[in-house]
Amino acid sequence: MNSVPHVLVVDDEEHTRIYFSRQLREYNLNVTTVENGRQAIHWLRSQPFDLVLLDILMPGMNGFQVLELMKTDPALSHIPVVIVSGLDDLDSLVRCIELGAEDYLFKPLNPILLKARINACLERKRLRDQEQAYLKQLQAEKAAAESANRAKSIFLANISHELRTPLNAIIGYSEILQEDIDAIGSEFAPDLDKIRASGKHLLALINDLLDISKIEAGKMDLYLEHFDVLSLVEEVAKTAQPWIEKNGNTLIIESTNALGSMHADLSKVRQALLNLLSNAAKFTEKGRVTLAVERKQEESGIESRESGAGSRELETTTLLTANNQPLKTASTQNSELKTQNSYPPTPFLIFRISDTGIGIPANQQEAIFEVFSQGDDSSTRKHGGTGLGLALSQRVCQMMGGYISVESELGKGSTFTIALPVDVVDHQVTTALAAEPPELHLQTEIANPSNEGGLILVIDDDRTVRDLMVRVLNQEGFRVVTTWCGEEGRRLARELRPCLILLDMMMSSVDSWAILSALKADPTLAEIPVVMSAIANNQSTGFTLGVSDCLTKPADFKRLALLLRRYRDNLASEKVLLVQEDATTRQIIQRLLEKEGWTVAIADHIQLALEMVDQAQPDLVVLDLMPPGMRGLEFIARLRQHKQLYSTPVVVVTSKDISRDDQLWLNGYIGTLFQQEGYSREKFLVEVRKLVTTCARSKTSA
Amino acid sequence: MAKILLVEDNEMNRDMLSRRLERKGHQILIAIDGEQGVTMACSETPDLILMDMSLPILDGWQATRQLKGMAATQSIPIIALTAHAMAGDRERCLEAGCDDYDTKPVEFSRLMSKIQALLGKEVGA
Repeated sequence: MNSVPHVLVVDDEEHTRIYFSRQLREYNLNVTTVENGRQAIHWLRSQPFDLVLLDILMPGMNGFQVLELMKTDPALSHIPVVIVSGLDDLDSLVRCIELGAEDYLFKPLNPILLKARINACLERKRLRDQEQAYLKQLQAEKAAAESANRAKSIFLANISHELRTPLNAIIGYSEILQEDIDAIGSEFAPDLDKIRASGKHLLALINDLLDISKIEAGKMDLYLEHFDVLSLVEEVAKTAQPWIEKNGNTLIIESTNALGSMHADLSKVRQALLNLLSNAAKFTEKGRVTLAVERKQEESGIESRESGAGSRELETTTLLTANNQPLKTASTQNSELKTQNSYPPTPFLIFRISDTGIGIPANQQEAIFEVFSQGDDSSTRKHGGTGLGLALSQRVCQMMGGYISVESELGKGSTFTIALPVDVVDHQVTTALAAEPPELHLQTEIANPSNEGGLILVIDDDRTVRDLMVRVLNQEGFRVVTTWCGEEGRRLARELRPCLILLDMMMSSVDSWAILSALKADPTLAEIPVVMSAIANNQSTGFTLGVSDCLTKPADFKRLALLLRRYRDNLASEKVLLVQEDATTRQIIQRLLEKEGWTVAIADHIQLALEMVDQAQPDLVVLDLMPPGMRGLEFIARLRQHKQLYSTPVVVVTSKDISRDDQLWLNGYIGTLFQQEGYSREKFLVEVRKLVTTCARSKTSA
Repeated sequence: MAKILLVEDNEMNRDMLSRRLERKGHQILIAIDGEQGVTMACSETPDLILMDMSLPILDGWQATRQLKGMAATQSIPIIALTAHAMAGDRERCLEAGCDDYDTKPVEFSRLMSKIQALLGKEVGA
């Protein structure tokens, strides 16, 4: 700090003020003295101070009040306060320290101690201010970087849209013309074909560029799935066959052992294989292109081979075989592998694409993996291609925890090797969200083969919670399938038709409400009851909202009627409690329910609904969960704790479009509810069991 | 053959796609914005809808949600067509209720196989 520190002395005794004034000026400090709390606050708010010396006992506003005001005011809370008190007043001192005082001095004052303490205080404040300034600067820089990155993403999305729209017409119309010409035959055909081919080429270029930018911005997603490797190889070979034959080449497929299945991004593996095959075909004439595939059980099985591109290949191998060996270079490729390497060893699939073509000079073998680089410019002119394919394939393989390497001899040919873990872990997603190993589904299925309780689908992004649910629900006689992602959840639901879906409503990266709406909007899935639950990060508490059904569209009354009819079949009487704030909607639903023969009790707000529950003893609740209130959640949470009525089905009516803001608010609200209504892990599990059993059993019996 | 509703605001794309589909023997209905798309889907009950996502008045996502929310139209398969190919587009389309998704420029043979698959499923269901 370059200016002279400014100290405010607050004391009602004149001689103390004079003493401080004189002493502090001697230490070359600026001093302002005031005689009461009110004046102190006034001064503090009108100009900056670096330190306050505060007496406790003063008429009017005392030291505690000044301190409290200062520490709750964001503009003043950073100014250190030193309490000046009598020795006999320890209790007050303790209270001041609790309120946020930095230090204290006892009367009578010792000038040496005074100087030391004040200087120490000022120094600490200077350091704190500096730290704050750095932090602010960092935050500003971070915000600027983030906004620039966002701008880039938006630009990318827009530019790709803008470029593709006219291309759509160019390619489409040339294809239409081509169909016409094919029918009548014309000399224009070759020219037209060039227009179409150029359009396709431009499209490929845009797609590749967009993909590379996405990878570099960390925006490329992996869609991991299980697939059969041999089927992929056969499919790829079939696609590549025409390109290979074009230059008079033969394609040879070599598969050394049982390949089995792998868990990876199918389209990206396919893309990389096709890229390498098309390169091999392009740079080879009247020769052989071989695709050899094998499964290596141990990562050390990827042996180092004699190679012109030695450094890349060897280093990769080093990394894979010896964890503790230090890295010589730190290219992105290797740091990626290092990340992968911190996981337990997994089997790898090795795809080798060899050709008998022109080969790549040793000094260019590194560069071919860079963007816009082919062997040399003349080869670009001769062989075409975007010059992005290999760079893109390399990055895509790295994203999946693998790599591509090359060995080549000029004039003899090249071998490109793709190594990919059999079970790819998505690094984009945090490790807690890591994709399920393939065995888990099987394990859970086998863990309890009894079919009695039916199948339950658990959607939760926390692996430990998923495991917990598997155990708990298995004990109840249910089979369980789990997933961390909503999209996959929907797919599984369609495929497996579970009798119930248990959905985490506080997933960090995914939007639980969007998943719920998607499930309920899908006519094939709408019937499956969904239980919304949440469990705290430390897993010590949780609570459930057994949302039995959810209408995402307020006007969809026809579905409501159908839904209610389904419930009525399982109910003893026909009492429904309608909780709806909006009068019009309430009247419509009420009329509809009464027409359907239900006895309707009405509550126009949550408090009333809570009071009515006991006396109305409803068999079913139709609940408004519309923004901005959405206090309906609180009602459900309470209902779930009710001794008799905990399993009463609740049909939630929610807006068709819960906006982003509403969403954030809702998530925050669930957080609050969690604190108010959450209960212990044991109770939570009991609740889940009760709900799941009731819902699932009534579903199976229906 | 099938009655297909094409909801697309770009005149060239509309013209191109409708001509090619007609050549394949399909009957093509045209809507040029999302609102018109919803109205026509209700009155004409097509066998399948091809829905551009960036549409005026009512965008493709909203139109799809409305169609999938009405009993009369919820079973009509919808294929989303979008020139966006950013991460998450596919999810957003499927989340809105679309049955399938394709990017523009349309690769006609791929689109045809998707149409075929959905129409086949309808007949079988």
